[in-house]
Parts: sequence; structure tokens; C-alpha cells
Amino acid sequence: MKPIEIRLDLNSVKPLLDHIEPILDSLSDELVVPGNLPDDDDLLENFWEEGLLESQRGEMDTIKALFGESFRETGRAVMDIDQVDTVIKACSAIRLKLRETSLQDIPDSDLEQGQVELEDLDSDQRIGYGAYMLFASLQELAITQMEHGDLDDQDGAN
Amino acid sequence: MVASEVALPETRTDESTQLADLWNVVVLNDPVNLMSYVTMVFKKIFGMSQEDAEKHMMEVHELGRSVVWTGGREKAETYVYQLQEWHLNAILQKNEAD
Repeated sequence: MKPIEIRLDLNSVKPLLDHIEPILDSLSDELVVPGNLPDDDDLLENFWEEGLLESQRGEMDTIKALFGESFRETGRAVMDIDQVDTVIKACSAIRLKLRETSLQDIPDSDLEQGQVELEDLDSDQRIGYGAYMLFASLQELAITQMEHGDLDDQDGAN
Repeated sequence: MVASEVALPETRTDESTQLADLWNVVVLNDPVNLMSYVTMVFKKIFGMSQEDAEKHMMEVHELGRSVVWTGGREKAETYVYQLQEWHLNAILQKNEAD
């Protein structure tokens, strides 16, 4: 599978990336979905949560690198094959956190069905929703490329 | 070596076989994760076919939960951990039918 190249309009995307910067920092310190282990063993629970947090921290580092200085100068980012899973997971974590913060007042059903009216949102919600959609698109792109990439690899082997 | 004259504790052997408890790995709905994402995660973790993964994804979406795997506790814990690593709301529940 070839690396995935992303080109975005910097003027449109920069405010969205600025908006998620504190989210990336908070997700490096705190799980977006609390570890849920029905066990009285504190030691195991600590290992469990630490492992999940370590994984989530790696996801945030990958996103920071992907949309770092180089992207902010050129609007171009390249996702290597070995980063795809991490980016796909990171998109999920970022969207879940946006839902808890900027988008907390939007009903679940509106979000789920994509029936959010932009004119009903305040500026923070609008930027949050823009970021929410950006990371949905990035996630879908990565999933599609990954699944087609797998097919390409199979074709190549035959 | 001195032979001990202390009486050995009485031992009994339970000859009945007890099956280990079964545990369900349950995925709960959330309004955020995309259907394509949840389907992909099920395929990756459980090696499900596209059809099975979509069936479980739709159960989560429409019924709010789906039992995606049932079996021994240790393996069930591993699956729950993996699902949580992919930010899905996954829990472990004892199989009451057990």
C-alpha cells in the first residue's frame, strides 16, 4: 500500500487545527473512553489504563506530527502505511472528545444523522463541528485507502 | 533424616468436572463512531467477515449493544482491551445463560 497524501486548504483548516490543539494535549493525559474492567484488582486496573493511555498518547503524537510545521507551511501531509491504524484511532478519539466539549449541547440524534444546522451553532460549536467533520473525512479516507490497499496488495500477489 | 510422626491433613479429590464461566464481550452504542469504522474494527479484532461485522455493527446501532464474542475470561479481557484501544465502548459481562 502506498503512503496516503493529504492536501488541504490551509486557510480553511488552520482554525480547526488550532481548535483541537488543547484537545490533543488533554488526550495525551486522559483517556477519552475510561477503561472499563470489572475487576477488583487495582494493580491490573492500573496496568490496563496505563496501557490504553500510552496507546492514545502515541495517537496524539502522530496527529501532531502529521499536521505539524511542514503541513502548516505547505498544506500537504503524508501518512505512511505503518501510521494508518494509529491515525484512524486518533480520529475516533478526537471526535469523541469534541463531542464531550464543543459539541456537548448538540443532541445525539442530530449528530448521528448529520442533521446539524450550522446557523444554529455559535462560533465555538461551528469550529468544533468543522473539526469533527474534518476528522471523520480523514478517518473515512484512511479506512478506504487501507481496504483498497489490501486489495491492491492481493492483486499484486496473484 | 527424621521421619515425621505428624499426621498428614486429610485430602479429598473432587471428581466432578466444572466448566469455566463464560463471559460476553459487549459493545455499546455511541453517537460518534462511524459505521464504517466500527465495522472495520470488528473485522480487524475478531477476523469477522464483512457481513458478520456489519450485522454486529447494525445491532450496536439499532439495539444499543451487541454481544460480539463469548468465551473464557482471559481471552474476553483481551478483546475488551483491544476494543477500548480502538475507543469503542466495550464491557465484559458474565454469560448468564452459562
